[in-house]
Amino acid sequence: MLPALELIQLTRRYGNFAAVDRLDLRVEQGEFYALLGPNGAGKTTTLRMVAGLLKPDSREIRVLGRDAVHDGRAARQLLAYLPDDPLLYGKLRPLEYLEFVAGLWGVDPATAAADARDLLERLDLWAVRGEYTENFSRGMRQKLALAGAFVHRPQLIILDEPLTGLDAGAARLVKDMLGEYVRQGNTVILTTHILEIAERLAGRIGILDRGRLLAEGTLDELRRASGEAGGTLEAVFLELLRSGAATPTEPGR
Amino acid sequence: MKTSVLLRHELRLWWRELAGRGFNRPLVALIALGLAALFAWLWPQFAELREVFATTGLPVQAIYWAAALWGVALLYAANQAVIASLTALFDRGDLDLLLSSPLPPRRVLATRLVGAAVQVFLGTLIVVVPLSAIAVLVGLPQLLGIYPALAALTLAVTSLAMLFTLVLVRLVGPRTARTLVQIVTGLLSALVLLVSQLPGLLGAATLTERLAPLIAPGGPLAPESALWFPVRAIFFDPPAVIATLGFALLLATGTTLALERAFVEGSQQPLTATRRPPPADRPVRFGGNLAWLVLGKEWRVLLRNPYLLSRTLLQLVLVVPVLVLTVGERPGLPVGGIVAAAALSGVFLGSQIAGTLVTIGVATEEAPDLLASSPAPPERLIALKLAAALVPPWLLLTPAFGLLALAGRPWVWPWLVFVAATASTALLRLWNCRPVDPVRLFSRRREDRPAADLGLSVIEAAALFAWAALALAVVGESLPWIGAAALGLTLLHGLAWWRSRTVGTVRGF
Repeated sequence: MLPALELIQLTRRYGNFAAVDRLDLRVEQGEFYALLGPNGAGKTTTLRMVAGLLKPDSREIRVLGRDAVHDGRAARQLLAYLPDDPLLYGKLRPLEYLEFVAGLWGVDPATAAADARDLLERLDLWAVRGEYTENFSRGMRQKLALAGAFVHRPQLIILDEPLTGLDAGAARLVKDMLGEYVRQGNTVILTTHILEIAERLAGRIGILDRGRLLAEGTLDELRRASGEAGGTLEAVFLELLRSGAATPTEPGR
Repeated sequence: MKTSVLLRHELRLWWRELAGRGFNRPLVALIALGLAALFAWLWPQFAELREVFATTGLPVQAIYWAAALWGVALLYAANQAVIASLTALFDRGDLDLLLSSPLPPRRVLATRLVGAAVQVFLGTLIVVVPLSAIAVLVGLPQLLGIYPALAALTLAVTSLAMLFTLVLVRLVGPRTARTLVQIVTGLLSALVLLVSQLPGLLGAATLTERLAPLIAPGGPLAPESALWFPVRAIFFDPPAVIATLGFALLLATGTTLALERAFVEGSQQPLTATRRPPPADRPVRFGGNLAWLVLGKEWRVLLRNPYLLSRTLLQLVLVVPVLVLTVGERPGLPVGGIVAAAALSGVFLGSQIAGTLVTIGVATEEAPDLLASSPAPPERLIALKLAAALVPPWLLLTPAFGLLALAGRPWVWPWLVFVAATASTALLRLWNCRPVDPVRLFSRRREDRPAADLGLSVIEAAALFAWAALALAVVGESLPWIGAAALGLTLLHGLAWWRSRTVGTVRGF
């Protein structure tokens, strides 16, 4: 089976600074993968390159076998990207926004209409469907953007800090939705600073530092690599960063 | 905390905001050139006035000129004061800090009011300083009275502007108040334009005839009337200066006392608050055609922007009559008549609207990441956005050419020039479209596109006048002028294309 995402020697430089430095990464279909790292580690840059928002300086990005650099349109058709600060159209109502997003991905109108209603109901936004999104709170905006990511039924969703601004109930709802989506055979890649989310949801975790993959594996594998047997992900994460994880792990499983 | 410290804080924030917009050397050079021209024009006028002063005292004409000056200053101050009030009350993020401090809210409000008045006053100095300098140099020191007169004017007008802004907030909530304030400032700007055109439109002789009964001796606006006291303050008439300043101080104090509570309540309402109940549930029929989806979304966003709509209507209401009256059926003009007026209206108004809509649709695109990460072809998205910006001016102004056709006048070529001019403006604006935050664009009336490249903006303006020249050449059926204008336009577009790629101002998704 083709991997959901494959990065081969991916590099992005800003002048002399390498934000992403010869990064190799492989995420299989049906995985819930968490990409962790300190501020400035290159997480967002990596995700933006996968989503086609930044051009890599060198080598390959493959989304479900499609070359995202040279055939970006085919790759983008299969994925959804949710940035950390979701930008919506203030003068559109939720259903109008979802209609627009579904149209961009060429989703069948009848399917999109049914999915949009279902998503708004599940995310507790149906009651405010008559409001312009400019009146929404940060959490409501985040949920609507998530609905936008789901409405075109992507096979791979990449999310940058998806739970920022959500209250406990909404965060739980989103986590459940993402979990269910992965169980259906789809793939989720997310970045987060809330390590508890990665610990509870992610099948595999990658730790990025200075643009390179410092360590990768299941929580148990990372515990062994860090020598923090039985430790929390926080302890493992800090230990791996401190030690610089002498040798980055081999990509893939 | 002393009031003076609070005022200094207020002015420092204003100055940094102003300085943050950047130092535009060509603009400064242009202003300096304009001031030099003003200086050269005013010098002999003031010298003549000095002679009259020396022989007959304050002449009647001087009163009316000063009154006209006062009127323009009043409209300018009102416009600026409403904007300054809005900024001072809602845009700056320091009110929570100040109102939660032990400072009495009344003092905070008074400082905001005085701070806004000082900003407006300083804004007028760019014209007033050279004016008063010439007056002193030619021996008319009495004209230094313009400083206390303007100080009183700006304080009084700012008090009224703040009153207006806060009352609106109480009545309709902060968000709608902001929109209404923007519409009012738009109307005031339009009024300034109309007032400046009044003598030309009505004819100076007609204006004098109409005003004659009012300004005749014993009339309510006769030179000796007490109503002119603010105008006499400009000539340093001591009782008038004292009365003007006293009136302004009284108004400012009254405003501060009356508005203290409204200020605390109004300024603490978040701008995101809405007082309206959710609108009725309207069914959304999902469509699958990308072109209609993009056009529909763009037009929804545009139609739901009351400030944009009010501005467009104002342009329609103002520009067309002005052009019809100036270029209309007047003998003596080489190219004139209603066809020329329609062609010029189409070029200027259509281009203005198309340019604004491209700025809103492309430069202020709210979700560029969504578009860029979608599989929709970027060049198609851009083409659709251009179409969304062009269709409204075409629909709005084509009926004018239809009327020409019904009247049996030539309309095809002027209409084609209008269509081409709007398309050209849209394209040039697209090439000069760095991203702009929509909130920034609308909240402070910075529709001057702060991120635009000056060189490209100059090319845009030059192209607009070249299109106007082409329109007149087409109406006048002058082949050499048509050729010259077409050649100029080709060169301008080539230059703009090169410049936009050199400075990187073309926005894509």
